[in-house]
Amino acid sequence: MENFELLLRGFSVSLTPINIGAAFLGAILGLIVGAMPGIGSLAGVALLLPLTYKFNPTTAIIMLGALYYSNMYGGSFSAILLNIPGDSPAVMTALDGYPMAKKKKRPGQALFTANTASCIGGTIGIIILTFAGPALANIGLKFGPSEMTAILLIAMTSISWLVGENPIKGIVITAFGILLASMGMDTLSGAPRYDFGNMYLLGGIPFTPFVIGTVGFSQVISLINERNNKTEKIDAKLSIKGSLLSRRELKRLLFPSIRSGLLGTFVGVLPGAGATTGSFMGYAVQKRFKSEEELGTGAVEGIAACEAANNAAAAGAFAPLLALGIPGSGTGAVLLGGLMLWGLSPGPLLFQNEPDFAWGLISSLFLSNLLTLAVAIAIIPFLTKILSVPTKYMIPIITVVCVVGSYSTTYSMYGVLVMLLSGIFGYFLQKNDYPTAPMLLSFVLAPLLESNMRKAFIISGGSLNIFFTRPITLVLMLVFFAMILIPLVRSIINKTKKGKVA
Amino acid sequence: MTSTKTKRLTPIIFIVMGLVFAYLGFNEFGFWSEVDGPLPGFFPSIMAIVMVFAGIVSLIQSFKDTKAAEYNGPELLVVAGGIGIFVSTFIIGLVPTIFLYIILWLKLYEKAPWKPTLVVLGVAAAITIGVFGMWLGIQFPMGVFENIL
Repeated sequence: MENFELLLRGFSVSLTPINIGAAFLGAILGLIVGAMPGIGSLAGVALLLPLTYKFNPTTAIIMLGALYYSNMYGGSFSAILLNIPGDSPAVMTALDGYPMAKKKKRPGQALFTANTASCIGGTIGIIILTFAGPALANIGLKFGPSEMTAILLIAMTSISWLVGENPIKGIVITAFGILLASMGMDTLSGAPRYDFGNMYLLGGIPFTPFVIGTVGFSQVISLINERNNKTEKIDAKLSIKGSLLSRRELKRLLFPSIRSGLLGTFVGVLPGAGATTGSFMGYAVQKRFKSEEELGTGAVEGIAACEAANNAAAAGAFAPLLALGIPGSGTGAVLLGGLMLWGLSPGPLLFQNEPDFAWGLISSLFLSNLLTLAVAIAIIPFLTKILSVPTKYMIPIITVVCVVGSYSTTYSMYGVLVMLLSGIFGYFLQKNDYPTAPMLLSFVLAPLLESNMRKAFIISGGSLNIFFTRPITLVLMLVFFAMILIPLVRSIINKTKKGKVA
Repeated sequence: MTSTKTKRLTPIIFIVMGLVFAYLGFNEFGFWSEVDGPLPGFFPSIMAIVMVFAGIVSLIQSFKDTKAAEYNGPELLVVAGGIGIFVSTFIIGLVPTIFLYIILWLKLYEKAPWKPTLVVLGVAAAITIGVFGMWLGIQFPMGVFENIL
């Protein structure tokens, strides 16, 4: 009940004209960027991050939340109409969305199904977040530096853990992100370190240009190979009226959406298991239930299951992000970086120290969910035009956004230089099969991890015992070691098996 | 253009970087003090050592990796375009550089007709001047013209 009252107080913060306008703008931009094939939510949020600088922290974060959220909606558009998922969670949407649009010639209904299911799943996720967020924060309040160190270590390994094939590369890249973050000022004493005598490096590597380069500019470099790819033209004329679902179809999508909404939220709360895992699991679970049509042939249930799950997971991921300061994905890490840029420290104390902000953000997610649904339905008639913009024209536009966005955050060409170098290095890493998401995550979390670890050592007088004698820390450290060792053991077993087969 | 060498070069870069960070961490910034506990070099040095060891394992793995990294000319052209924008900004300023880049890219490389080129220019102008210049109030560098105007 207390949460409900706080939520209502949050609505009084979020329901101001400027905040509604910011959420609306975020919803439109997020949908358009999310719909563009090949850009994806991570690059989308990174590219649009500088736009939030216009506002005060609460409004900026509300816009950022709407951007993140609507990106999830947008990813399904190109999956349904072009069979090209806008981002990885939309891969499963294409399985039924494209056949429904192409074979059954019902693209509008496929989009409407995806939008409605996304809204249902998202709403379930945000309702659970309303209760789970503060509960998690209450648990977090019992955490001291040693527990926080263990939690942050788990958060850092969580993405590398899911990278799968080569955990060693995950460890290398995580350590690399930490070292980049350590350049500039020492987190506790403020003493300069690793600045190599350069006055720019004294301030550290600026977050926004670094992220824009690593995920935005490196993406442009990769996009060049797709610029001549011919996409199938969407011949159908889309209209809102012609896209409406029948009552029977609405009934068909309701239960899969609710089921996937609950499942997706649970998956989203787990560190590292983001919207993509949610989408895959939602679809897999739907296969065990009865569908009116076979999944993969354009079934309403198939689209609803994965779309509801990925949006619920996106909402659920806010719980550990706000309550413990742990992002569940690369996009979450960018969002966390955005929060920190505004001087906010997500973690157990956020709900106590900044209740207006925390509840304003949660309430704005309800608002963003509805606004995004309205915008997503309203742009259905224009989607054909938006999606038929050739990639070759997108490349110079995204490059310009990368350059101008990086400049605007630092007011100097140093930002552009950081963007270019991190973009080139990000491209180089991708070519050599190093994942960049763990680097972003560790870059964002490193200062917190360092300060907590050092405080823990100061408390214990330098003894490692502090990490193994306190019950919660011990359990968390065991989880951490399991997360490091399981993929290593799995990779060794796989290699042994491959060796035997060969 | 393919290269297997960069698959070996990448872990070497990480190893060297790790060694530099560890050296500086231990020698310049300090690792541990009996009085103050962990010093500024403490955490980065540990991470640098982790990176060196993981980098060595990654280097060993790279010798077994037969799949070469592929680098295409057009990809490098995007990189060159980015560097060109950076350098040109110091001469003619950021906004003219962006316009010049779009025209050169679309007309010379993509051989695009004028109509879409002008549309892209319009979109870029709306983003640069409209959103960032007017709405966000960003003052862009004007290159050598800065002192003249």
